[in-house]
This record gives sequence, structure tokens and C-alpha cells, in this order.
Amino acid sequence: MAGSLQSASRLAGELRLDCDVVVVGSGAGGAVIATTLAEAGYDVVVLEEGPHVPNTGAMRPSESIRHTWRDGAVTLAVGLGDSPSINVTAGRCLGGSSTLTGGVCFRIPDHVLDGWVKEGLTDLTPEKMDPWFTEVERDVHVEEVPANMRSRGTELFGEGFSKIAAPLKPMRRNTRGCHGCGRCNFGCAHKAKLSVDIAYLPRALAAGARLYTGCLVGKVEFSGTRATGVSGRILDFDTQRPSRPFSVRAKRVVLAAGAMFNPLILAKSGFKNPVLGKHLSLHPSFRVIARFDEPVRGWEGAMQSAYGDFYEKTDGMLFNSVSVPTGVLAATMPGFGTAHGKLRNQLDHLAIFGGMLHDDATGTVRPGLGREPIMTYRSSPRDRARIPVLLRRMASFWFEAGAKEIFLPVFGVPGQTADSLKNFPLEEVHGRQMECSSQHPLGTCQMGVDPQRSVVDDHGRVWGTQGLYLGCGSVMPSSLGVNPQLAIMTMARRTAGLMVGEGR
Amino acid sequence: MQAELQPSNIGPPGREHLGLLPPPSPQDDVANRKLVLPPPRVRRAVRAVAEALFDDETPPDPARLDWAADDFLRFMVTATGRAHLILRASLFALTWLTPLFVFTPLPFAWLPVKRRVLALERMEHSPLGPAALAVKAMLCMIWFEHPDTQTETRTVPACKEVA
Ligand SMILES: Cc1cc2nc3c(=O)[nH]c(=O)nc-3n(C[C@H](O)[C@H](O)[C@H](O)COP(=O)(O)OP(=O)(O)OC[C@H]3O[C@@H](n4cnc5c(N)ncnc54)[C@H](O)[C@@H]3O)c2cc1C
Ligand code: SF4
Repeated sequence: MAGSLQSASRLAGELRLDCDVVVVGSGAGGAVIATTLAEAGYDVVVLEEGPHVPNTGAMRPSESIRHTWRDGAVTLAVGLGDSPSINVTAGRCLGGSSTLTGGVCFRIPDHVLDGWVKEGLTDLTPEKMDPWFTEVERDVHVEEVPANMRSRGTELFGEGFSKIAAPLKPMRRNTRGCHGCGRCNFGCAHKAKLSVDIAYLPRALAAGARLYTGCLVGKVEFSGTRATGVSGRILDFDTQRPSRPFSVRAKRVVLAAGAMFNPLILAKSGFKNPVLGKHLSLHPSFRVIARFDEPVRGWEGAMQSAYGDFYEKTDGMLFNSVSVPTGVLAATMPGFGTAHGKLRNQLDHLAIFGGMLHDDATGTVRPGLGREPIMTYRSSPRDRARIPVLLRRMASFWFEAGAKEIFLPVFGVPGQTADSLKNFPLEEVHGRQMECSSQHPLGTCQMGVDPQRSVVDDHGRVWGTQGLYLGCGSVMPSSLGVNPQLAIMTMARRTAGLMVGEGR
Repeated sequence: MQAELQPSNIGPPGREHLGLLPPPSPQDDVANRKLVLPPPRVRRAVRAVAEALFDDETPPDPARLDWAADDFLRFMVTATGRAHLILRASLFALTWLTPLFVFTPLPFAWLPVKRRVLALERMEHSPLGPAALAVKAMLCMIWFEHPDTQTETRTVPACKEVA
């Protein structure tokens, strides 16, 4: 029987539902769990805070941000001490952050899985994870980006990278029929990006799941230590402010609200645990922009087509091709008026590449005033020391490829030539002056084997409760060092499979 | 209420039959949200920043400035969570604190354009830099979405295949 998809804001009267499993959040984790369980015959309800915005590519980037990105993309993890503050972005719509990705898909590196196994998570070996990965990769159609889809900027960075390190590798992405128009973060007009709203949620619907948008879940309801459902507020469609209450009774509850929100919901539900909200890992990311004499038109090409992992295992640095809207490129240029105009008029000569740190998971998420969390991030000394190294390396790749000047992610600093960069005191720049971003909040409700040092067991069950599971980026036992959507979907698929195995 | 999937031929091999989620009804379409825009003084402040930011050898097109200021306000009231608060606070700082960087205790919009540019540049290098940047980032993004800007700056988007 086909399920339903409704905006709760439009429903008259109170919303009270009964089901086998309620899934909170429809993103990378939640969609996969909901689909698996619905297809296994469970009566599934999915509650999503954000609206349903079909991924058509019809919106301008700024329109997409205002409607589908959380907080209009201004969320900050406040840097403590000498750490940079980090702009953390996430989705807030049906399909969650999955709808905003560049499509990049990495398996969890073997050395990361080996580390988890050493911590006692003995079922997470590369061999045992392989079937789960294979299934999800098939479902979302993970394929290699052909070299002819690379932007000119990526080709140039690749030239420099291969002279100093090694050739870039082709990215694997969840796409089919990509035209290389580089606007994956804002909706794909060609429906080529197989995000969960395309690859999974229609399956859940076809299997009878009931999907509700505009439902902000506040807390999990318990009877003793057994989870019995969730409650929260329906959001007014026009203002997106909480209005009427709703409640869902369920035999099992899955929280998949992402690493920023799962700890808040658990805390509001009265759940206590020494590591709840801690160990936030963000993969702090930095961009370095280069100006070439030749026109580059860096925005033409598959958004993320190649990567360099030469330094990942040794130094925890991953270099990923990125493409950003020209307006964002312009915004990163220093100055105003004529000075800014000079740079604005050369946007087609600029190329951009990203560098990401495999961090030590040193952030924290706490409840704040209102419904958004307070996030803080204090880089470990090791992470902090690696920032200038990462930036200098990226600059050297660009110069090796013939760049005339580069623009560092340091507020207000003019372009640097190869010579001027040598004397630029990058190592002394305060974190406060650095521009840093993250699209990968992870690990605030870590999986582990010790209830005092983790929030969920290796099935995704919340310690000390019954019938309560977590299934999103919040459960990652450590930072991954690679883009996480495939890892999240796969871990969620595994948790759902184990839930089915446990029986009703 | 049951939802019918929309026919489609996308999806991974073996699942091409999989439909798409049905689109929202017009009343549930986010483009049709009823917005309450802030008072005109806020618009004046946004427009004054845009006028300085995009000032060049020739002043920016007034109609495009109006469009950008209006779209900025639509962004501000549509984006959820703290976006509204942060942009409002940044605009407040720009209106009242930026002029102090050129030692003029007047609202920002009252300053001549060149003076505004100087004040903004000084602010960008100060600890208040992030306030200037939040508004600059959003204005730049919107500005470069205007087809005329894209033509002028040779940044008209194109697919790699077409290019
Ligand atoms: C711009 C961008 C680009 C990215 N690109 C890539 C990429 O190319 N490759 C990659 O691997 N990863 C990428 N990522 C990261 C990836 O998208 C996320 O790591 C992943 O989607 C997270 O999955 P999740 O299930 O943990 O959370 P999400 O996908 O964020 O889903 C959580 C959902 O829960 C909802 N929710 C939150 N609180 C509540 C509540 N109280 N009640 C109801 N619903 C709630 C949210 O609205 C959201 O829809 C990108 C992320 C962004 C933002
Ligand atoms: S680059 Fe490919 S996947 Fe991304 S928006 Fe364009 S067509 Fe879609």
C-alpha cells in the first residue's frame, strides 16, 4: 500500500499517530533506516522538521539556501582559544543534508575501521562492512567521475598536485547522467544526483511509510526506560515557528536528526550520559583560491570531481575539488568598492580547491536558547598546527600549476604571490581571523562498547534504554577524515538490518 | 491521504521504475510563503552597503541595487534559526558602528559612497570584520545571480557538457 507525504502544518486538529517505528529526521541516515524498515513490512512514520522542496535545480543558490539550508547557512561552531570559528552547514528539508551534497562518496577508510575494531567494535571490520557498503553504493549509484567532467580549476590543481605529490584520483559520486553543471549544493536540474529524497524516500513511500514535514520533534517519551514515542511541535508553514503540539506513539524510536540535534533531543528527554554532545568532529575545511592568467571558469564541471589523498594517512589531510557559486567566490575577495571590483571582474580567472583535516573530534554541542544548539570547537594542538601546513601545501600546488597569486582563507588579507607568501606570517595568524567551514558534523553520540564512554552500542541502541536507536552522523565512533554521507547511510543500513533481525 | 509517486526514468540500474516524490501543492510550496518584511530603514541600510560594495568606475545600476536589497530582505526573513538575528545584528553594526571607522557619528547610509567604502574596508580589518562579511557574503551571492551581472562578468553558468 502506498504511504503518504504531508506537510503537518496544513493538517487540521491535533496530530496523534501510532506506528511500529517512528524515525526522526529524513536525511542520509533517517531515510535509509525508514526505507529498510518499511520494505521489511514495518509501519513507519518519518518526522521531518524542514519542508519538502523538490530537488529540481529551479532555484537560484541563494533561494535554495534560504529554503533548504539550516540557519541560512550561518551556523557557527565558536572557536575557543586560538581555534578558528567554523561555519557549519546542514540541510533542513525532506532528505536533509543529503540533498545538499556534492555527491562525494567515500567508504570509511580501512585504517579508521581498524581503529574502531581496536576500541572493541569488532563487527566493524572492513570485511564485515563490505556487504553493507556494496548494497548502499548500488542503491545510490556510486560511480567514478570521468576525467572530462573535471573543471579547468581542478585540472590545474591536479597538475600542481601531481608534480609535488601524486596524481589526483577520480572522485566517486552518487550520480547518474551528470551533466557537470557544478551546482549540486543547490539542487540538480538533471535529477542526476541520487540523494536520499530520490534514491530512498520514494521507496519508503511505495512501501507504505508515512512522511510528515514541518514536525519539530522535542523529546522522546519513555515509560520507565522503554521509549514509547516522541512529541514535539508542528511548525507554522509561513513563519516556521513552533505552533500546535503533536505526538507519535511507537514500539521503537529512531533518532536520525543529525549530529547537531540528536544530543539536544536526548538531553531534553532527560537522558544523561558523560559523553553526550561531546567529541564533535567537523573535518575543518579550508579553501585556497588561485588567480591564473588564463580564463579558468572554475564553476564549469562536476562539482567535486577529483581528490588527493596522498597526505591522508600520514598527515590527515584530504584535498577535494570544490566549486562554489561565483557570488561566493566574489565574497571571499578582500575589499569593497573599486578594490573589490578589480577582483570581481576577474572571477573567470579564479580557481578554487578545498583542503580538509582529519580532526581529533574536539567540539561540543549543547542546548542553547531556542531550538538551535550552541557549538564550540577547540582545535587540538595537533590540528591547530596542521592548518598553516595545509594552506602552504595548497598554495604550493597552485603555484606549481602556474598561478599568479593565491588568496588565503584569512579575513581581509590581499592576494599573495609565491614570493610574498614566503614572508607572510601564516603560522602566527590568530584562528579568529581564519575562514573555516564544515559540512560534516559527526560523532556527538558516539558508538562504543563502554556505556560510560559512548552513547550507543554497536547496534545503534542507546545505552540504558529499550526501543531507542540512533541512526545518523551522530553515532560515528571517531572522525572519518573523508566525506561522510556514504558512511552514514551504510551505518544506518546496518542498524536497520540489525533492527529487523531483532524481530518485532 | 495517499501519495502517488511521479513517473520517472532516473535511479540506479534495476530501479528506473522508481518514481519521484510528488511535488508539494501550491500552498505547501516554499516559494509561496507569506513573508513579513522588515521596516524601510532596514532596506535603506542594506541598499547603502550594496551601493558601496558594488561601487566601481561606474556606479552600480540603481534598479539592480533595488532588486538586490529586496532579495536580501526576503532572504533574511525566510531563512530560519539564527540567520535573521545575525543578519539584523550585522546590519545594526554596519549602520551605527561602521561610520565610527571614518570618525563620523552619522548613520551609514548618510555617508557619501566613497566614505562608506573606506569605512567598510577599515571595518573588514577590525575585530568587527565578521559583521561586515556576513552582509557582504549574502549581497555578493545575490548580486552574482542577476543575469546582467553574470553577462558583464562573464560568469553565465553553463554545464560542462554544453561548454
Ligand atoms: C553543503 C553540503 C555539502 C555536502 N557534501 C557532501 C558530499 O559531497 N559528500 C559527503 O559524503 N557528504 C557531504 N555532506 C555531508 C552529508 O550531507 C551529511 O554528513 C549527511 O547528510 C548527514 O546525515 P545525517 O543523517 O546525519 O543528517 P542530515 O542528513 O542532516 O539529516 C538530519 C535531518 O533531521 C532533521 N531534523 C533535525 N532536528 C530535527 C527535529 N528536532 N525534528 C525533526 N527533524 C529534525 C533535519 O532537518 C534533517 O533533515 C555535505 C553536507 C552539506 C551541508
Ligand atoms: S554537477 Fe551533475 S549532479 Fe551536480 S547539479 Fe550538475 S548535473 Fe547534477
